[in-house]
Amino acid sequence: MTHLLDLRGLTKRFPAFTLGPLDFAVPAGSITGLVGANGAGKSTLMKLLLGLLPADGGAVTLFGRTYTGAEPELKARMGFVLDPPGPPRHLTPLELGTLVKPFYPRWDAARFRSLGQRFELPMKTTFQKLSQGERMKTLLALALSHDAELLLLDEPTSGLDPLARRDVLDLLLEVVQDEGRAVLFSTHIVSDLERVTDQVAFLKDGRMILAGAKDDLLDAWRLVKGGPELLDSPAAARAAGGRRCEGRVELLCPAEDARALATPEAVLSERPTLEDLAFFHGRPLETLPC
Amino acid sequence: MPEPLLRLRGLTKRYRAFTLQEASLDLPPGSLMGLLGPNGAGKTTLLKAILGLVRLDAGTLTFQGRDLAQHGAELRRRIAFVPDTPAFQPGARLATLKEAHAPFYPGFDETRWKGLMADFGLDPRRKAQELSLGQRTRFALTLALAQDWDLLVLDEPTTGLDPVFRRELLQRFSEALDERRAILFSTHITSDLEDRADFVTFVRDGQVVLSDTQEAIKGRWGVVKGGLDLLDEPVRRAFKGLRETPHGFEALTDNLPGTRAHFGEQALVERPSLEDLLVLLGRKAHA
Amino acid sequence: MRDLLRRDLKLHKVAFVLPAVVALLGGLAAFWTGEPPIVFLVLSLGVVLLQPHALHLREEHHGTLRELHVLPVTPRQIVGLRVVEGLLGALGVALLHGMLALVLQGPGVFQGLGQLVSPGWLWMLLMVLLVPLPVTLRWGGRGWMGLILGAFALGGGLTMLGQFEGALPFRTALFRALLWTMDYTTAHPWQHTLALLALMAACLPLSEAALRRRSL
Repeated sequence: MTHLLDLRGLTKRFPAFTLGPLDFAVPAGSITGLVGANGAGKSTLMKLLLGLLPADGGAVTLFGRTYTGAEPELKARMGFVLDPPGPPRHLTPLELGTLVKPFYPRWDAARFRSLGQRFELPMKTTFQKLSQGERMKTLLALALSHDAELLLLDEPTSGLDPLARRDVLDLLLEVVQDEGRAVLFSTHIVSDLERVTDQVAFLKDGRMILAGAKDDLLDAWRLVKGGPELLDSPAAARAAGGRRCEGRVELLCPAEDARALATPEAVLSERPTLEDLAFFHGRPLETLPC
Repeated sequence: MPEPLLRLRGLTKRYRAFTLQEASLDLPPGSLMGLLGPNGAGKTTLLKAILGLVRLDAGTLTFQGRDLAQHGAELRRRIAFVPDTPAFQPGARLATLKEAHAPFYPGFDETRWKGLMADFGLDPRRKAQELSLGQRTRFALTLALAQDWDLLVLDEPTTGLDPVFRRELLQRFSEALDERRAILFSTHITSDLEDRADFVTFVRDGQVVLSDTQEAIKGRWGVVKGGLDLLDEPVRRAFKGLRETPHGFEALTDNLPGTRAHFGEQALVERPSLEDLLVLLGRKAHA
Repeated sequence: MRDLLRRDLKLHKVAFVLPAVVALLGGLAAFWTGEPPIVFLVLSLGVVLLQPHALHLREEHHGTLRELHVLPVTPRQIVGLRVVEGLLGALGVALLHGMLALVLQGPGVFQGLGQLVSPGWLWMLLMVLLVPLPVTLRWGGRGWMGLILGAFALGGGLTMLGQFEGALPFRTALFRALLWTMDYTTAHPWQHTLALLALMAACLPLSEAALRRRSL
């Protein structure tokens, strides 16, 4: 399997915050979701991937090459949707198309028009008058019309209502129908991940605490619920996180430990949801509220 | 059923391009109600009406048995509100903003406020203009939760808040709820309310299309997935929402057992998620 | 009301600086130029009476007007707040100017004390603070654009009127009525004052109604 994006030991240091080292790859034909709390480093990572920030260590490899000397060419093969500021707000989608066209050798005007029709975009309305969903669809249409192979999207579903969100996600699924393409997007909405992603990466305090194929990740963990006697087991010490609530204990454990814990009848062992993983992982027993 | 804490009857507000039409709902004490709907459906207008921010063309609002239009100022002491994009005087420090806010609310708990500020990672010496949207929302939440409220109204406060924070927030809400309090929570992130909200209200095109306990809705409604050959005119008409793709259809029914019996093995009939309900109820007009 | 005033003091510290500086400068200017203090007092008062409008527009500009309306206060209290802010400001400016005059020019300046009880003050209060108040509360910044444009149009219209005086049929009746009113009021100060007070009182419920109509 080819990797469109490959991170090796990528590091960026700020006075109060360090991102990385991150090792991660995005294979062709996949959608990868990036989750993390505010300030975990998602936006910094996006900027590093776009070459907007110089890295302090490690390398970003895109389509098997680094940015050095090939930046315009590589960027022409990528599509981005970043958080604000976004495109000039007084232009219409049609004008935006004309604006970006000269930068992309593979720009396909006919495709842009047909995408506009399909998304029911008002092509002659200025950007600032479009709804959030229409804005996001415009940006996606722009990215898809220059035949981007790798889409990097910073919170494309944030602020969208569920209808628009489902449209956007369906569109991402459609993009990766073409096996040569891949999508990396960050989100605050875990159900987005459940709906469309193949791979998930959790960022926390600048480190990637969990990353991998969604199903493997979920298979590797169990959420074990039971009485306080759970904590006596040696396996409890290996739990990645948990909480105690009115005498009930919940632990996030590696799947093999869960079997060791699940002896008495009072114990319940479940496959966690992605939200459970995000919530419990790396959070010791006493730090979580009930 | 106890006397509702908040009762809306026939709320109507006409704008040039949009009308909120005779919205009615009851929010019993002790419950968390989710308010769901696409953008522009009228959720914000409805919440603003409760806060006295819009002049209604018709309808009555009753809070704790008293008319909100008449006793608004007095009753609002018991209502806490978190708007979708909270705004604060840019130059003011958070501590100053709190001092300007707290005297209006008897029972504002200074100790709890300080605890919340620490829990939410906010420094009272910061100035409002230095905060991101997520932080402004967190700050608005500290002010609301330190108040001694009976009704907490939240207008999509979750944009910009990460999943872990949101989950903790919902836990705080369920801890705070007792038999005199209620929460009305509008959000786009339906998965947050799944199995957590006691009541759910769906708003669409300015109308309340469905408002009931989540349990009752999930027991009665269903999503149907099947091939296009199953769709004929009577079936289409019986559906409460329909989405067709080249590969098949997804539809909504308000008669789960009946639909199961009708289709048998031919179609998949499942309990709907809140998102299914929202998306498909939304598609009704396009069917 | 006290909480509302305190809230404004806390949130709009910067906004209070400008009128205070203007008032102070006015007082000093009276001393330096040797003009009667009353001239500068009038100017400073004008600025201070605009202040409540400025505060409301500031809240609108920063998007915090909604926060103000959500507070458990009645629209009447918000109107009251703006009026009280204007009155307190006016009082403050008058005292400041009086003190400065007293300190810098000695007690002699108070010979013209009679001037200070002129109905002119009431006119200022009415025209600068109270008449535009419903506009501020209902339309905010847009309302003031309208007011300013309206004032220009009126000014322009009046100059034009001067040129075409002879050609206007209503001229005599309108002017005569205006002249008569001015004559009458200057001749009957009591009635004049009472009428002004009545006009001012009428502005308050108007402001409250205006505020209630505002949707945020």
